[in-house]
Order: sequence, then C-alpha cells, then structure tokens
Amino acid sequence: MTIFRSLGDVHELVDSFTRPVRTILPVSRLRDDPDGEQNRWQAIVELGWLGISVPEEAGGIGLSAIEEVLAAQSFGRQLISTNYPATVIAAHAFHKAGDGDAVRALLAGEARAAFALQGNARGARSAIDAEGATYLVALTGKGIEICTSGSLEINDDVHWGRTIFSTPANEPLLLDASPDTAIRSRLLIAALLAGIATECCERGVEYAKVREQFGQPIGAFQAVKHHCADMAIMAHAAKELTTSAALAFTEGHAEAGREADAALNLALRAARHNAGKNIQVHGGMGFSAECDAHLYLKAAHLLDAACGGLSESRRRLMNYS
Amino acid sequence: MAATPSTIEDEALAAFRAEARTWLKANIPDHAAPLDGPQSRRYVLEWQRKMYDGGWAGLTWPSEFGGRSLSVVQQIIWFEEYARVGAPSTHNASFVGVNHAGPTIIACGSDAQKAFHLPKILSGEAIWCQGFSEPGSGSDLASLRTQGRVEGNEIIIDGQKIWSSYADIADYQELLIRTEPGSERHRGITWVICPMNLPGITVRPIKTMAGPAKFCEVFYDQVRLPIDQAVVGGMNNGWKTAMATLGFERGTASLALQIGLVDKIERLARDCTDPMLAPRLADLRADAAALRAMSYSFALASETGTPGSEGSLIRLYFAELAKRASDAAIDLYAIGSPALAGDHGWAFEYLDAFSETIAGGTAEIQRNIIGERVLGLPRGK
Repeated sequence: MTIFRSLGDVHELVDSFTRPVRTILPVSRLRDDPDGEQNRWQAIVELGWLGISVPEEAGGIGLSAIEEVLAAQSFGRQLISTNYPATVIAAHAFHKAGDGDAVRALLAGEARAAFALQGNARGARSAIDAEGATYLVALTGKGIEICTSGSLEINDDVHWGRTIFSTPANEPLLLDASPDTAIRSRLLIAALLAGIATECCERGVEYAKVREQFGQPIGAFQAVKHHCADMAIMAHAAKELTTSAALAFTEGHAEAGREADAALNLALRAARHNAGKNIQVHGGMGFSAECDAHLYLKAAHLLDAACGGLSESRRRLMNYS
Repeated sequence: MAATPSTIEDEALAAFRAEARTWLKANIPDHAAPLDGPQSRRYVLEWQRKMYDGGWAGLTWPSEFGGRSLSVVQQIIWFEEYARVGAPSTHNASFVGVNHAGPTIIACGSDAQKAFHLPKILSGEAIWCQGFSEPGSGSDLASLRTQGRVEGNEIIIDGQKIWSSYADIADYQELLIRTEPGSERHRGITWVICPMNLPGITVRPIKTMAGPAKFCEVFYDQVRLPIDQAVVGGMNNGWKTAMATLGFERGTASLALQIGLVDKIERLARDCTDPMLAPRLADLRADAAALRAMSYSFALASETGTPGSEGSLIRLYFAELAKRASDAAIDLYAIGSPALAGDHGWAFEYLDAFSETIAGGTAEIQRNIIGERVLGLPRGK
C-alpha cells in the first residue's frame, strides 16, 4: 500500500469551511442546553457540511472523501450529533440508489437520519437520538440498511449523554451493499473518533498545565506527563491513519477497504483510551458531570455502537488475506 | 471546488519499483546474516559492496558524495521492496556508517574527511561504530565524561564508552569526548573520528540477553588522535555536530526498520489460525497501518521542510509496537516451533525487542520528551 500525496492545501481548504464549528457547536451546549441540538442542525445544513463529498449536481459541495474526513475530525472534537454521520451516510446511500429527492431533502434539512443499532432481542432494536429523525440507518454486515423511523420508546436517557430509544425493526427501505458506502461510513466514523481522541489529548494536557498540587502543575509529574504522551501518540496515529485511508479510498487504491477497517479499529481504541485518560488526568473533577470529560467517553461509545464495535472491526481485519 | 490532482504511483515510480524488485531478487544473499563477530563483518561488507556495485548504495546521500539523491518516495519504494524479499536487516554493522557517521561527515566534515571516509562507507570498505553512551551516561547523554586532552596537534583520550554496537569489528568510531576541562552538559564536547586500531583502545564485547555479542564496551587509555583528521564540526562543538543529523536519523533512516516491522506483522497476521489470538493480531494489523501512515507522512514532510515534532511520537510508537508484535509471535508459534528457532526466528526477535524501549533513550525518557517538547508540559522540580 503506497500512497503519496501532500495534503497542505487540502487542510487549508477544510479549515476555511469548518472554522465556525467551535462557535456553532461549543461542547458546553451539551451541559447547558441539551435540547438545543435541533436548532443547531439548521446551521450545519446551511454551511453545507452534510454534503461535503456529495457531487455538486446532487446538491453537495462536490469534494472528495479526504475533505469529508478532515472536516469530520474537527466536528468530532466538538461532539457533533450522531445524526450527522447517520445523515451523511444516508445521503451517500440514497445518491448511490439514484434517489435524488431523498438526497436533496437530507441536505436541505427537511429530513434527518439517526443510527439504529444491532443486536436487540425480540425483533426490537435501539436507536440513538432518533427523535424527529425521518430515517434510521444501520451499518450491518450486509451493508447500509435504511428504514423509516417508527415509534420510539425511551430506553436510556441517563447514561450516554444522548437518548437511546427502543424502536421496532422495520423492513429496510434501502439496502446499500456497495463496498464504497461501507468504506465511506467507516472513514467518517473513524474521523469523528480521531477528533475525539485529539480533543481529549488537548484538554487533558491543558488541564495538566494549570492544575497545581504539591506546589507544581500536575503535568510536571512524570506519571501524569506519560499519560499525556500516550494520548498524543494515540491521537496522532488515529488522525494520520484516518487521513491516509481516506486518501487511499479517493485514489481508488485496491486496499482502501482494508485501510478503512484499520483506521476504524485504531480510532475506536484511540478515542476510548484518550477519553479515559482525560478523565483520569482531571481527577475528581473528571468524574463529575460538571466537567465535560465524560461526554467524550460517552460519545466514543455511541460511535462504537453505531459502527458495530471493536470486535466486529477486528473480525473484518482478520478476514483480509 | 475540485480535488487536488493525485500523485499516486505514476509510471516512473512503478518502473523504479520494478527495477528495485528485479535487482533485489537477483542479488539478495543466499544465506541469512550472522548476528555478530568477524563473520558478520564479512557478510555486511560484502552486501554493502554488492549494493554499491549495483548502484543501490547511499540512496539518501547527495550524488556529489557518491549517493543517488533519491526522493523520499523512491526511498520508501526501495525499502518496501527490500522488506518484501527479506533482504538483510539494515540495522546491521553498516547502519552507523551509512545512516549516521556518513551523513554527519557530509554535513560537518572537512573536504579531506569527506574524500577519505565517504567512499569507504558507501562501497563497503569500512565499518563504523558509535561511541556516545558511557556507563554513567545512558539516557542522560550530556553528562558524558570521557576526556580528550589537547596536546599540540593531538587529542589524548582517556575514558570508557558502552553499548557501542559492533565496536569489535569496526574500523572507525564516531566518538563524543569532553575536550574542555571543567565543562558541563552540552558544552565543551567534541565529535571525533577514532580509528579502532589505535594503541590504547581495548574492546570487550557484551553478550546480550538475545544471544549475540554485538554491543561492546570500549576503553581508551591515552589514545592519541591528530586533531585535523579527527575533529568534525569544530572543537567543543560536538553536541551540535551530533544533533546535525538527528533529524535525518529520526526521519528517513528509520523508514527501513518501520517498513520491515509492518511487513513482519503482516506475515504474523496471515499465519494466525488461533481465534483467541485473532483480536490481538487484528489490532496489530491496524497499528502497523498507522505506523506506515505516520512514518510516510513524516518522511514526506521532512523532504519538503522541517519535519514537525511528531518524530518522537512515531519513534516510541514503533518501539512499543515491535515489542507487542514479537510478544504475539511467541504466543502464536510457541516455544519449540521452527518459527521461533534460529538466528532470525521470533525467539531472537522477541528477546532482542526488549532493547527497543531502552536503546537511544528509554521509553520513559521518550515520554518525558514528548510531554515537555511536544506538548509543552513543565519539567518537574
């Protein structure tokens, strides 16, 4: 697998259109205004973030998966709603199926998608943040399954920072079994997770510089410093591999699927590792809900659940010859 | 908005890859490299000579010094093919000369030093070793004490070095000595070329836990060096001279080892039939892909400008991945299996990998460096 390309100009381009993300999606919103996600969706729609790599003639910006992945790294840092990857994936699947109306409705904010999860007993399944969603998107072994959203019953609104619903398992409206959409989905989720890993590292490091105990910043203690170094390594690895996998996909490389699976596996581990270390570095405050540290951990778990989890990614990785 | 044009492997690069593959297939040695002693010296010099004659030596060296000035992309392709055919590890007795002493002489040496030493290194006539660490100066290199007393046109050296790989079979040593009496830390150090056959030098090989005796202790008892031939980069300027090629060493010299590790992990993953080990191998596969992504992107960045600080991240990632890979190999094959036995089997790899998180600054020191220099965390009181 050899792909060589300098991405300096692409980074600049992506920075230019994702810059407002910190203002539009401050992480503090999840503490102060948990119901405000709906209002923020409109801003996401207007900035065109849902259609970064959807072709222009279908209503998107017409960039490649590389831009989509780099943008998602920034969005992941701000804990963008899981509706974001679900809707982007749905748009790609509908586009592939030739359903231009559905794509336009999703990109225009008239329709929204949420993730459905696998493995619930008795025909029921779970869904994340599905209130008001038109579609449920499930990433399954068969491909991307999309169904219309049905009745929702709250399953858990305590533990994951977002609401988990129980919903009947409706017949799929669309099954996109193409490797392309599966790879795109994995890249997108890997990128969001890489963003979480990066943000946790930065937050942990910043805190270690200002929090003092025993007369010095705790980051001066090697035990804490080494946690920070480990976070930096994991974040860098997740970012670089996700970006390189997006490059391989865009270039049509034969091993793009395998690279995307590797990126997802690594990003899943990096996000959970760094979220945990960030909580540890924050000490008692890190354990309190008043500190944001727990939100990153929970967001990482929801993305893990949405993409089938670490075990599934390992199974796929071992299937390559 | 359009995507930027692709520079994926084009025809010229594909032709270069084919050329490298053909040459390697036809020329790799038919027996595995001995790990230490005079037989290792013969083997390494012969292989270096073969690459030199075939036009494959000094790929990264500037062409005015006999190298090929290849682009980083070409180097990567060469090392990928090199790993694919299982060519001798580059981490052998020629490593210091080709990847460290040579580039240092190119960067800081006099014309006479360049003319004398560089052709010998490239063509496989001379082996170099490194004399940096001392019994009291391991991770804390700047505390070194080996003394160089200036007397007329000569420096007279007294002291002791340790962990000097292949010093017993080397012709020359890149040696750091303290030439300014009473100086401390990074000041007052000089980088010198020390021929290993001089009177007053005693070398004692140290057997490692992995079997071979490639590390050595070197003792200096009134060893006399002519200043004009020996000093590189100026008197008392040795720290700067040693650092001159650090970026080089951390950038592309490690590419071969990184690519080699990726290749080894792939072989392990393909061999894995035990479902209990599969999750570990899957993670290793992903980690290997990450190592490749990080090291390629770092090497490309070093070519076009000053590489960022992420070199220290990659180095530690590599060291710990090498250990985890060989740890998985022990569980996969089990003691007694042919895959573990032999000079280059996984038992050797496993035991030898314990040095990965020690040599060149322990993993703990690496984490301090990352914390302080990359992340800007304060030093402890």
